[in-house]
Amino acid sequence: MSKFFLVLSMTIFLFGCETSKKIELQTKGTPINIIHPSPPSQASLEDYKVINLNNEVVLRLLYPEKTDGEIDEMLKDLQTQIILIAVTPKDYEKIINNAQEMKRIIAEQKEIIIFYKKITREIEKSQETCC
Amino acid sequence: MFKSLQMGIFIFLLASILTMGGVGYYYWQWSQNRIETITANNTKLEQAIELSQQTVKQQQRNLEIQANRLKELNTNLNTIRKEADHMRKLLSNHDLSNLIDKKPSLMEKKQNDANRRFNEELERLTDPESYHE
Repeated sequence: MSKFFLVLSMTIFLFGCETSKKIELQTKGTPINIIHPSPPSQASLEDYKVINLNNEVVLRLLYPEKTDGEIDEMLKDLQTQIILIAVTPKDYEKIINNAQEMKRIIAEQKEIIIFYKKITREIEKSQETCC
Repeated sequence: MFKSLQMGIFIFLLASILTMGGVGYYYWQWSQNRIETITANNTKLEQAIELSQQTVKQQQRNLEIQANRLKELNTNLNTIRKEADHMRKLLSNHDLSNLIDKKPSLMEKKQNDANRRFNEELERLTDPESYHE
């Protein structure tokens, strides 16, 4: 008799032990992993020399055939200042190269911006239409 | 004596039947609850699997889009670098001092044309509308 009750109580006890846990689902938004393209290579700019030419030098360059006295007379007559900024051909090349380098950087940055715009737009579109 | 034994057996049997019935009912109720929970869990897991499969699919699509666009970007960047290199080579291959000295008016025209073209290209490049390509 006592064995029966023992078995009975064990059965009830063991049934009570075995329970199924309810699964809780949590949905978390995962950030989109966007590949980052390498930035444009650093601009390598060259130094160049600027030469400032004042009235006297300009006049001497423009009128090399004139004498010192004639140049002095012309300077006296000159009402406004003539100032020219000159560069040597080599330095002019450097200016062009620097400008090209700036243009390259701007163009590359622009391409990268367009890249991001395109992929974010396409990813958004594909998420709307997906599955 | 016999009657009381019979009565005892009857009570014992009745108690056993009632206990068994109670246990059976309890087990049935417990198993129903369990089946319900398991079914709900199963549904949730199926949903979770489907969701994760969709996410994986979406991630794969995103990666594909990015890879294609990255290829396009690299091609464009290479073209830009080639153009910049071309100008550098052009200048290094020509003796500008000599050319200006020999053909000043022709070189002046070329220089001014090149400057104008450069400015136009830069304006086109920085046009906000061109970012919507």
